[in-house]
This record gives sequence, C-alpha cells and structure tokens, in this order.
Amino acid sequence: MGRVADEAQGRISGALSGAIEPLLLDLVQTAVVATDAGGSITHWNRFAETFYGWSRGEVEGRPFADVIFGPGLPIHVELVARVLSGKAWEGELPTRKRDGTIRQTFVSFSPIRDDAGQPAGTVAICVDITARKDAEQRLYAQYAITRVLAEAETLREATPRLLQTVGETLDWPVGAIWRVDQANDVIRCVDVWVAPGANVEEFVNLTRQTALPPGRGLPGRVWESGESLWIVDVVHDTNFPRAPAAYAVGLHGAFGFPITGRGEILGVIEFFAPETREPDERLLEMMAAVGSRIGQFIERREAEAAVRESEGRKAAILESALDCIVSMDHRGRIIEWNPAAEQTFGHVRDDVMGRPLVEVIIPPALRDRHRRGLARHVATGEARILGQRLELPALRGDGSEFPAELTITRVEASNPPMFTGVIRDITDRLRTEAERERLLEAEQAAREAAERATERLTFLADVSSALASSLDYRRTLPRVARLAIPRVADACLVYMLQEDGSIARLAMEHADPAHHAIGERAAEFRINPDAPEGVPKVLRTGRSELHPEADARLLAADADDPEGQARVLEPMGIASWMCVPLMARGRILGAVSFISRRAGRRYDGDDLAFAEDLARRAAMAIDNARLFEERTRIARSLQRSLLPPELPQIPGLEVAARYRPAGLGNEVGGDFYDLFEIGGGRWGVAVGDVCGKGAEAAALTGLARYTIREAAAHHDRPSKVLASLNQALLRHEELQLCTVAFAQLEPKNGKARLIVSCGGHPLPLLLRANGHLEPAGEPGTILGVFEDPDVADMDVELGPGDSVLFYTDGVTDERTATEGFGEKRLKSILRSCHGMGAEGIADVIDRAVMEFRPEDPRDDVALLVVRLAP
Amino acid sequence: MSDLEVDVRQAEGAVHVALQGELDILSAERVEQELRRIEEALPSTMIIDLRPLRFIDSTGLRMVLAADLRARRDGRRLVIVRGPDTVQRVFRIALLDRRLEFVDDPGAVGENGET
Repeated sequence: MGRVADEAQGRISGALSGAIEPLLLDLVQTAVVATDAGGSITHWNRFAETFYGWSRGEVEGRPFADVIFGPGLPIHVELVARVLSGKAWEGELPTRKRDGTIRQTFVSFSPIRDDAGQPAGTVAICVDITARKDAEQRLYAQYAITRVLAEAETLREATPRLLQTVGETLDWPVGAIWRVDQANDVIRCVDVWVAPGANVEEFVNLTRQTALPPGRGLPGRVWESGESLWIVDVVHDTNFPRAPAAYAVGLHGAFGFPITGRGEILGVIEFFAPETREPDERLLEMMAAVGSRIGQFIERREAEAAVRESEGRKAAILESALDCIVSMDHRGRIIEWNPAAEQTFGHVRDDVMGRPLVEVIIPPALRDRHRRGLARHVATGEARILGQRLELPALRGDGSEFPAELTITRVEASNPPMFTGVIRDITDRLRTEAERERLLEAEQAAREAAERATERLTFLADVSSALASSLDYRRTLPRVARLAIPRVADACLVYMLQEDGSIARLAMEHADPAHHAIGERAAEFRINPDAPEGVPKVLRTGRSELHPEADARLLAADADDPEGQARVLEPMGIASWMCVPLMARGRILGAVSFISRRAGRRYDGDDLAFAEDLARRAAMAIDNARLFEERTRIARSLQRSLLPPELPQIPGLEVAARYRPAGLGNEVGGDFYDLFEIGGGRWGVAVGDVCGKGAEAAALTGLARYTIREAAAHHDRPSKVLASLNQALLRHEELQLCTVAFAQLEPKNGKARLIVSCGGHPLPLLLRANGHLEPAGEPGTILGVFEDPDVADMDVELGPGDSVLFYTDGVTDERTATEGFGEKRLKSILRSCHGMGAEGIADVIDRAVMEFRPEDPRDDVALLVVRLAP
Repeated sequence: MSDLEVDVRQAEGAVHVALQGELDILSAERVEQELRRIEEALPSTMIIDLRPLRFIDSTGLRMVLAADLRARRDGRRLVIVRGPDTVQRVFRIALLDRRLEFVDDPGAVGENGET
C-alpha cells in the first residue's frame, strides 16, 4: 500500500516545491488534499471529489480534519498539529465520506515548505484500503472463532468470547446469543455481549428477558427460516419488537445467523451496530459457516457428556457385582475370602484359607516386593500403600493374569494387624477406557478433518470466485496464489508453459514478507526446461510431485544454477513441497507449486488431492479464457473479412443482419450473408453456408460471396447466378459444398419485386404486412456436387410493410429434438414479429436463438431481414 | 467429445455401416476415415444406415456426399437407409432425396439393383 502512495507522491513531487499544479493532480487516481499552514484546504483533486463526495468549492478554506474525519471519528488533534508543523507521517486511519460511510484509508502526509523553508501546509494522499482491511479482519475473525471453539469446554464458556471476538474484530458493538427452547416453542436470549463504552443498557436488559415465537423478531425469523437475515435499520423494521428500545439507545443496523447442527436450528446469534448498515453478503456467508461450526461444537460436547454418563453407569454395575473382599493376618495368611473372590480368582474358600495371600493372588515376579512391604509395615508401622488404589496384575487359579484394582485397609484396632483388600477385575474398565479414548481420538480427528474440509471448501469457493472475476488469467492466477497463503502453503508459485517451450513464473506469493526478497532473488535464476526433476518434470509428465520432506536443494534442482538457487532458498527453511500440473483437455498449460515451511505441515495425499482439485479449477479457467480469446479473435476476423463491413442503405427498405460464430475456437462453420447493389436499381441478397471448417471454410466463403457478386452482374436470373457458383465449386478437386438462398430485389414505387432462388438452402420466410407467413422460393439442389443442379426462380411481389427473413440452418438447429429450436418454432416467433421493423425482427430472432443455444454451439448462425417501408 | 458410434457389419454381399448419435463437425472426419478404410476392402455395396442417427449438420452431409462421389467413381453401389425426420429434413432441403439412393429397409437392398 505504501508503494501506491509513493507512486502518487512521486508523480506530484515535482509540483510540491512551489505552486501545486492542479491539472496534474486531477490525473492522479488517488485522493490528494493540500492545505495551507493553518490546515485549511487549498487543493482538493478530482479523485477526492468523487471519493469523498465533496466538491472542491465546498471544501476549499475548511479545516481538512473537519472534512476527512468529520463527526463521529476522532479528529487526531496531535497528528494534525504534527503534520502542519512540517513533519511527514503515514499510516492507516479511518476517514469519512460525505454520505457518512467510513472508509479505511492509508494516509500519507508530506509537508509543504515555502521558499524560506518554513512549513506552509501539508499534502495528504489518501488511499482506500477498506476492502483489504475488511478481508484481513474477517480472516482474523475466522481464526479467532476457531481458536475459541477449540479451547472452550462448554458453550457457556465459549459464548461470551465468541460474541466478543466477532463483535470486536468486525466492529458490531452489541451481540446476543439465543437458544431454541423446544418444549415451549420459543427462542430465548441466553447471553449478551456489549463492547466497552457502548451505552445500551435498556436494550440489553430487554433482550435478556425476551423470548420469541418462530417468525417473530430477528431471532424468530432466523429460527423459522434457517437463513441468515440482514436488517438495514431495526428501528424501521415492521417485525422487530425491540425497535423502541433500539431507537432509545441508538442501535440501527443488525444481522443474525442460525446455529445449525443435526440438521436443525439450535440457536441464533445476532449483532447490532449504532448506524444503518448495508447488507454484506460475504459477511453473512462467513457467519453461516461460523453458525454451523458452533453447532458442531455443541454436538460434540453433548456427545462427550453422553459418553461420560454411560461410563459412570457401567462402573456402578461393576462395583456391586464384582468386588472381591479378601483379608489376611499380620503374617500374610488369608483369613477372609468372599464369593466374588472365589469367582474372580477361581479358588474356593476352603482351598485358600490359611495360605499366604501372596502366593495365591500375586504373580511370582511381584511377590518379593509385596512381602517386603508387609514386613516393613509390621515392623515400623510405615504404610506406603494403605488406603490407596493400586492397579496391578493379579493371578488366577489357572495361572492366568488379569489387571486388578486393589485397595488395602488395615482392619481397625487389630493387633497384631490384619488387612482387608478390596480387589476388582478391571479388564472391562480398561477396555472401556481404551475404547473411549479411541472414540474421542476418532471424534477429534473427524472434527479436525471436518474443520479442514470446511476451510478448504471456503478456500475453493474463494478461488472459484477469484477465477470467475476476470477472464484474464494473468490477473486471476496471482490472486489464486495469494489465496493459498497461508491456508495451504507458506509460498505458492504459478508457472506457465510458454509457446517456445520455456517456463515462465506467472505468480509468486509468500506468507512472510521477508521471503519476498528471497523469492525475487530466486526468480533471477532461469528455469532449465530440460531439468530431470522439479517443475519441468511435472510439465513434461503431467503428473503431480509430492515431497512430504523437501529442502532448498530439491526445489532448486530445476534452476539453471541449482547450487546457487539452493543457497538463496536455504534461509526460507523449506519443509515440504508439492507441485501439480495445470491441465485442461489433455494439454499441460502450467503448474502450481506449494511450499510449506512449518514442520507441522507435511503435505500428504489429502493435500495433494486438494491441490489437484484446485489446479483443475484453475486450468479450466485458463482454458476457458484462452478459448474465449480464440473465439472472439476468430469471430472478429471472420466477420471482418467475410461479411460486409456494414449493410448498404437502400431507399425505401429496412435491412438488418445478425451473425453469431460457432463456439469451438478454430472450428468455424462457414455461414455468410451479403447485400450489394447490382446496378439498374437492383440489389442482391445472399445468405449461405459453406460446409467446411477453419481456414478452408473462410476461403470458400470468400469464393462464394465474390462469385455471387460477379455472376449477379452478368445474369438477370438468380438461378443462373447459383449455376455459376455451382460451376465454380465443381472446378475444385476436393468436394466443396455450399447452400445459398440468393435473391434479386428491385424496389420501385413503394413496392418491390423479389426473385428468389435456393440451392440446398432453407427457404427464406416472407412475413406479409397482414401477418400472413409463407416460404419464398422452391427447394433446390445443394451446390458443388452435381453438374445439373435443380435450381428454380420464384417471383414474389413485396408490398409496404412486408418482410423477408433469410437464414442459415444454425437458426433451426434441431440437435436436441425435445428442446431444439426448429423450423416450426422459428415460424411462430416470426409470426409474433408482425408489425415490427427489420432491426426489431432480427433482434427477436437472434435473442430466441441464443436462448436455445448450448454454451459451445457447434454451428454458426447468420440471418438477414429485408423489410419494405410500410 | 462428440458422441457418434460407427457399427460395421457384413451382410449378404454388402457392408452395413450404422451411424448412431450426432454426425457433425466433430465426428464427420472420423467417420469419413472409417468409411475409406472399409472401402479399401472393395465391397460391391455399401449401406449407410442413418436410422440410429439423431442429428446431422452440413459437415455430415458433405461426408455422405463425398462417400457417394467415391462410390460412383469406383463403381460401387451406395445405399442410404433413411434416418429420422430431423435427419431426413437436411437431405430434403438440399434436394438430395432424389439424387442419392435412399431405402427405408436395408433388408430389401441385396435383391434388386435399384429400388
């Protein structure tokens, strides 16, 4: 942004020393304001007029701070004093337009000095950066929301921080969250956030007490429709019960969006602003995504609670059914063995009574430790394990082991001491725990995948809209590269394969500004198109390259000086790299390279699939753009060379023509039309179709048109003209076909005589002034095949207001029989043109044909209308 | 891109070529190559069956006429089985219905020379 200001400054710097040249300033596409030493506006360029909405006359002599900051914004007293005292300053400041809207601007102040070098005023250059700031803030808000949701345990905990995050970053000072109360069929406010300093107590208190039925108020409407809603001014909204309170505290603009989960609306979040605000579709789209993310959060927490509850129940059952109670004396001999112990250990009571407990239930490896502990306790009274819950392996009668939980207590007042152990088989619990952990992990992974997928979808949507914003891929591709940062890469480069086989870097974006310099130095190395690795390999093979582990040397492998470029790239700390081809219709157009610096982001198969998806979209856009360029170029050149540059003016006649080229790039059909003076008050009208494609068709079209013109001068019957054309076509060795409707037209005394002849062409249609429709002419043989074509002449008398439509078969293309345009439909549309002029008829038919055409029509369309003045 | 299928069968002294789909600027050249390949085997009769054809444009028309010219040059009989109305209309407008040998039923072809 600084660069833009510098440029503007550079352009006017010469003028700053003495008097400012106003004419020059008016050429600058940036608002430029100059003041005198007191800060009063002396110059206000044309761009400032359109940008701020104040004319030069209105602001000259006024203090500039009053104008560009105006009511409602800080007027920066200190800053103003500083810049008027001869200091330069630049930075981002909000400024205000005449209509009250606030624009984020980058403002650069430069001092003006008089001849003695004393401060004589300042020049401010204001560049609008609102769009960039908005985008930055939104991106930041999305990250902040994701963080809040990831860190919070409960929705109650997350809510105030969510409202605060959205409200502060996007500048909506009042926000509220509402939950649906299914039982009572109302939606209730559960929390409100207010920005510090906002004095809206009355409104907030009312909101907290409000419950609304479906369809009522902002939350009720969002709840009912499931759609986000924007209200420019709630005070004047007919379905906003809190309007009086909003009016009282000065709240106007508002929007709300649903919290969606499990396919239903769980709640609504609404925000308010102190001024009216125009609807912002991008913001609503973003908030819809936020709403579903909050919904996912709620679902996840509820799922976790359910898992905890069921686990608790299971534990209770285990407790009552499976506890073993075993007691031993001070020597460690068993004196108590309950039925549960019998079942768990597989020893009946009588077999174990009096035996050392250690030998019965402790696996051999742990016995010594157990014996020492018991001896120590008996000798010293020291207890390490008493009263604690221990987990340890226990031994069954059959020699197998199982995980057990053991709690040992000393039987009170026993001397010598006796001990009771409560032992529980925790195999199931451990399994449950492992299961729960696995479930939680899987859920976590699924949630992360879902979040990544959402983010990618948002990204792809952004990419698609960037690609659609222009057909010039030299402009859209750099934008796509910019969007990839930092979401999928730390650096993104786009390469295009040039016609001479060399490889050009079309775009290069780095997340870290410090790396731009590195990138630019790396770009000084040429790409070796024959390098066995790297981008040239992708361009050669059309296959993607994925390197989860990458370094500077790998990336530099395709440079003309690999070692040199590797040294330049080294400081970037490259961690991972993938490169995908831009391919459309089997042709490799270029490649996109994604570089990751963070060790945490190693590209994997998922990333590659995503990058390939991205590349497919980009390639399609490039291909479309190229096709479009090609189509436009060919259509133009064809029209220029083969159609009359403009139709001649004929007294007493109206004429109109339309031509639509086929949509397949260089595959052009050969429709043509012509209208020319034969002499002696007669005119020639021709519409035809040469059956070929490309350059061949173009050549044939030229031949047909000039042969017709030439022959028309020598023959007085149109059928003779067609016979001449037939002979000319037969002279070619290759089969050259042409269909033509040719007519001679002789206007005289408000009427006209029309003689029509057709060679293999649809008959022209005659629309009489009284609305009657009839074909003109008789079917004739296609030209260029037979020595003796059947072509006949037909005389038609035209009266005032009669029209004749000449057309090619592209008009009636019946490719798709059910939807095709067809001859019948053409006739009925032409009938509806009764009473219209030639231009009107041509327009109606052209529009109707275009409506029915596929996006890439294979046939071109030509039509010509002649109408006798009514 | 263009959906046109060529189905070639040998039938009692004639080669039967059925064209299915759309015969237009995208497919005509391919079909013409296919026909020339079949002609190399010097069949005495070639039947081009247009019944399964949905659409034909002027390029397709040219392909049929070129096949007819080659047949006349090489002394081969070329018979065309009439296609649906949208296809026949194109031949009608070009006034070719009386210049080429059209039949409704390919079964009748082998028996007599002309129909």
